[in-house]
Amino acid sequence: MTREFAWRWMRFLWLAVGMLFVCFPLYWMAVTALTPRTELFRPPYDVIRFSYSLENIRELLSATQFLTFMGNSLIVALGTVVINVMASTLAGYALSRFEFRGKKTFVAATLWTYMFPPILLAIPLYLVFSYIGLRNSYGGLILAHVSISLPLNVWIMWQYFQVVPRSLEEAAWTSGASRLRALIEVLLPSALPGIISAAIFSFALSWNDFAFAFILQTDIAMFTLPVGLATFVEQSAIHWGLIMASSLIVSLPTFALVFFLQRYLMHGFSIGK
Amino acid sequence: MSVALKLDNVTKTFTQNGKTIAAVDDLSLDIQPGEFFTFVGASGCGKTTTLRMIAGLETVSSGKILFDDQDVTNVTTQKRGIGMVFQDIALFPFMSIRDNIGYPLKVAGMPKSQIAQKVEAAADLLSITDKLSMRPTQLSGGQQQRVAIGRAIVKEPKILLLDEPLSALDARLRTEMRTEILRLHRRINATIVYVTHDQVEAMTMSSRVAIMEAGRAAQVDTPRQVFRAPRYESVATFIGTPAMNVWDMQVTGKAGQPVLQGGGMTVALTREDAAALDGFRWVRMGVRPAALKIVPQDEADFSAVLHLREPLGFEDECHLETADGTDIKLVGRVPDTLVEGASLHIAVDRADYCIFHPDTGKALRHGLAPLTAA
Repeated sequence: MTREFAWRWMRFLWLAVGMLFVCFPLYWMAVTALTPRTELFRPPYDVIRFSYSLENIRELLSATQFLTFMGNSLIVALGTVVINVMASTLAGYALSRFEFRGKKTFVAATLWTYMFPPILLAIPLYLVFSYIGLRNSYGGLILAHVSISLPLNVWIMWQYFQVVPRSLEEAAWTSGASRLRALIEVLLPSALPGIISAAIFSFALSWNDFAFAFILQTDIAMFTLPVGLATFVEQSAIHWGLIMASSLIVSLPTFALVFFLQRYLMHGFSIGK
Repeated sequence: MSVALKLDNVTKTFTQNGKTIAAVDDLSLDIQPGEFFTFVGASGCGKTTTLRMIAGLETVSSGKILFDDQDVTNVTTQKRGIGMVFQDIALFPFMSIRDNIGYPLKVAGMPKSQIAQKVEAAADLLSITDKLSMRPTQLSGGQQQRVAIGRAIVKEPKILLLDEPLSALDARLRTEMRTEILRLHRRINATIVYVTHDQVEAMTMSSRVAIMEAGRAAQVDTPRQVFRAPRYESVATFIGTPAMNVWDMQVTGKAGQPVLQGGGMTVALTREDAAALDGFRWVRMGVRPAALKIVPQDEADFSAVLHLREPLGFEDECHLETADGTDIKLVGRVPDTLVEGASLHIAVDRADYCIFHPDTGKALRHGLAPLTAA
């Protein structure tokens, strides 16, 4: 009894320490973002502050190209998500339902691509994109992001479609539905959790990418947020207030995404039974 | 009258590890309109593959499938106009019961008001009217299977295919649903093709059954005929619970008065049996547990010791052992006074036994009904 009790508390203690490591930087980010510049470097650096202002955020939106970066990031991320969802769904379906030559190699190859760090692909891509004129374009960066997120998504969707019983699809066929109609009306709803995870994964990957955007987008007007944020670090000054304010804003969509869609992610594992 | 469903030399081969295996081997049979036709057999006998070929979910390697004299061998599943119920029920989990049942009509492009009407009618037939707004997961296994049947019959298909529809249900529900499906068959005007591994389902529900073995139909007959006059030893032992006793017996006795001997048993046969036994030194004799009777000593064929009795309620299943240790099963109303270890005198019902070829297992003679010509 007491032993069990002790174990329980030990576990909570570990969790608490872990949570501290995860949450404190987030907290510090938020606090710094909301502290006026004049107070930022004046000791004492209190852990809990009481005076807040939106000065950093106001400056971020008016005096920097933050909104341009944000717009670029959104366009690239959405493009990546749309292509990923469509391609991985169709590929996953094909892999799970058809037998064809080289299927095993294909599936293995999707995982091999993970052995290469993005930077290794970014430099050849820079050369290729320069040659075909895709540098500094949304399409080019979207393609680059798709190239690293799609393989895993194909894998995820393949696994998902394997779990959806064939009889579900066959029931639709015997009901008169064509293969495409059965895919859309019967299979996709069953695979929705998989599709949502694929979307989240590709969004997060594109939203957070630094390497590709840094190398492929040389024009500041085409910078995405992670690269744009780096411009706040200048040789003579590091604008901590601006960096933290933009970090705060950048992290919001990710929080929102996980918060609103985790219901689907959790629900997903029981559907299709 | 035209044949509702005709299989014409249908063969299905698979290639596995470079070897070609026939899952269904040159199967030909006719199913009449309105029949309740059952394919029964152990797993891997080709029964499900046959059904899937009828549904168009599996291609045919060679041979033809005809619906109403129309060749549908190369017609897609969608255009065959069948209804099908699957072993794992396969309801669309994200649709309400109403939408599940109405799905085939929606696909067919029927107006909403008409769909609603037909769904109501199907739900009424299956007594699930109060479940229509629910989701499949909110229903019990039996109710889910009713919904699946509703979805299959809502378009009023001429042919309704059922692939082991009751195997996912527990024993009591299975019995209930059996009756339910039979009642449904009486009410709807459809030819039913049913697949099961459960011989009780096959025997109780069907107009005719095909006993499948290794891709072939060992026997196609009415359940009664399959039980009384099995064409092969394998059919005889597959059908009936507990299984038929089968013994290796030596053919002895005088001409015209054969006697079978073996396993500590002696059974004198009649003149009618003589012709069938002609030329055999050994045969296999099959006697159903219910065709063995406990009799007074002077009427007995042999005696055996009662080893174990399992009360079935109305009757008992008795395990007996003959003088040389052969196990015999007997089912009947046995006096309560008989305890394990008692010595019993046993007679074979002369109207109910089979004699099989010792090598091929083909039936040579049935005591009960003469073997009809193949």
